[in-house]
Amino acid sequence: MGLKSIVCGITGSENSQKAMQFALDLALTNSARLTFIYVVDVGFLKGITIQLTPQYAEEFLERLGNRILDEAMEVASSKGLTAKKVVRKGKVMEEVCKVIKEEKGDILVVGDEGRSFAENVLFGKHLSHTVKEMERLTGVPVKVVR
Amino acid sequence: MKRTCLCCGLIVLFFAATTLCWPAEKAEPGPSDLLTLTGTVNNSQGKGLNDAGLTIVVEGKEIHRVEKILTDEEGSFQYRLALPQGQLSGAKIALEVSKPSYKSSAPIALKRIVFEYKDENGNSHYLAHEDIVLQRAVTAAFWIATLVLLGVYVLIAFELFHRTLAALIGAALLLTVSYTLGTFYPDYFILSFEDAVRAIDMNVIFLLMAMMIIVGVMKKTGVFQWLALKSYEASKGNIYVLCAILMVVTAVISAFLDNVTTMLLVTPVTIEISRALKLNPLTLLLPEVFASNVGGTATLIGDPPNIMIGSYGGLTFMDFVRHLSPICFIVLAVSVVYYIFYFRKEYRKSDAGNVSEMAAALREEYKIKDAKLLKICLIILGITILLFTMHGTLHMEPSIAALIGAGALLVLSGTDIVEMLEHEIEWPTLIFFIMLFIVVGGAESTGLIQVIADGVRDLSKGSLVIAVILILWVSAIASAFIDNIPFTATMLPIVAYLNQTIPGAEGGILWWSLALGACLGGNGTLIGASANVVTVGIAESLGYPVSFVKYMKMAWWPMLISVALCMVWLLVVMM
Repeated sequence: MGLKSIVCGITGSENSQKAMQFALDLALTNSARLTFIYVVDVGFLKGITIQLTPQYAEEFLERLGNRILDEAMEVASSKGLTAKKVVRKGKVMEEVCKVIKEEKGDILVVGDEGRSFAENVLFGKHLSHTVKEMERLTGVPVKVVR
Repeated sequence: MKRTCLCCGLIVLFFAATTLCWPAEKAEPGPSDLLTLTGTVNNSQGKGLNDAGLTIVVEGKEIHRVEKILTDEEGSFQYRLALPQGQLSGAKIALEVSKPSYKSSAPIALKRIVFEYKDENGNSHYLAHEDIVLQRAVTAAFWIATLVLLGVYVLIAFELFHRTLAALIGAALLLTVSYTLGTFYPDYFILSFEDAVRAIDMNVIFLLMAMMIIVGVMKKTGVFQWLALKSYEASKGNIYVLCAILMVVTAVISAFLDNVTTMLLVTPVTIEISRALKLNPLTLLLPEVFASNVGGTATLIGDPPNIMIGSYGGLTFMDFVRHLSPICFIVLAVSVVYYIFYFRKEYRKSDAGNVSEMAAALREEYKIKDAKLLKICLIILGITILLFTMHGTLHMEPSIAALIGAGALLVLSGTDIVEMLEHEIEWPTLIFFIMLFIVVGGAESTGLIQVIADGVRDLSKGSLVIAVILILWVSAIASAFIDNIPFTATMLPIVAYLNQTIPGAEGGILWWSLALGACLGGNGTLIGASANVVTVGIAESLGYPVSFVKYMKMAWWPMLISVALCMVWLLVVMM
């Protein structure tokens, strides 16, 4: 069965750009709808002394996220595909799941942002765990491009 | 009219009733001699102890009073003891002193009771003065305060709770124990509510709040981003020059705003410039964040630890400029050279392209958004900085200078104060500071701080050189791994104690060791300073992650070099 809707999470990373290319090819092959998503997550500001509110960081990340998505849209358009862009604020996984449900996505494509073993131990889950959790939450397969 | 009469009547009745019910002061029964007793109660470092309870013993019998005799805030006491005529002359009078977390004194006999005069009623007036020193006792309160302080550190370090919540739990726990167990068993009394309130340094809170308001208004002008873009244009496509200019601009902004704010302001345009140059943004962001931490070290208002040190140590804005700015300038110059050399390969690969074309594309986004507001901001900021430079002469706390600036800016810019308070003031941060001060106050009150300070003094063997080196490097290494705000808060009373006990430290050199160590040490690791975490967080959320180890590889050595330079500065220039 062919894919009807593809959701691709994008950042400025090299692997993310590869993911975008992969999603584009997949969309073209399957004549599927393509949605690019960028999530503004300012969780890293939690508990930090700051003279500006987190909204300030959210605003400029939203602006930069839009710029990254616009570039992806241009690439898509150069290949004759009209993609959709979505910028959300919140926790990455929650927002991506919401967009997949809204867009009735059949697959999620993301780039591997890469974390070392030590950092996974220090700062959080390993990507494979995140992918499994995301697959469980959304019910769609997740393709990680490296 | 009726209602007014009724109200007046009720008020008159109330006063009449209270006057009748109020117990009349008992007149002194018969003629009596008077002894005016004065003195102080101090700890072993000569610091006055407030709320120490005194008991007067005459001929082996305690004199019972309705109210307790307590020392005032400076540890002084004054009491007039009245005894029937003739009983004071030659009487054996002693004092007993007690205070939670201190060993109660044995009865201290008044050595000299001086006859002053005889009044017209034949009453003799005497004078006596006694200075009493209380020794510390390690009580249950000591261990509870220690555990609470460590617990707060752990909760913050492992992010088990939001750090404001961690500090709030700690402060609440100290006061709860004091007013439950401590009420019945003095050994469990950690600190009184009044002491807790006194421990809060409102100068720090007001200064942070006022600076938040000033930045909140100034950010609307877009001047900081405009400055970063101008750096790009000034570099004329030379990436090495760009790196140097960005570092200097960031350091200068950071000297007046806190480091995190500075990085939040310059990061977006830096990322845009990097993307335009096809350069990994981290190669510019890392030197910037390093410069930001260096710039923040240079002034009293540049970094929260400096605000705390300045307020606690009574140091002026100009003291910081004189003692820290020159070395920060040297450290900045060295780090510019270091980072240009470190990232030379990446810079070589960048695509300088057409600078003016790229700048034009970014100019619309990062232009001055409100020129009129910028003028007002610059004038007010200038006046505020002028007040900062003069606050020592005017005997004005720096927070007052900042509050004047914030107030004037709000009025002249027409900014809605409610909106400003709701959206621009980071209340969790202010509450964090308030609660942290209470937690450290508990540690100080029960003697933990003194134990640590004694340890540092013993370790330095009373040598100022060793103490300077010790405080500088311990602060630097500690700040590289733990939050430098609670660390500095803990170190303040320790350094204050060492200033009094180590010969030659009275000049305050140890404050500068602490400031340089706590501020610059944070450069060493990703988690060492909030500005590092925020910058890496932004970079990561845009797809440019940097690992903990990779960050350390890029920042650890320059941090060590900068602290080594500071050590030379402190030992050669400042001693």
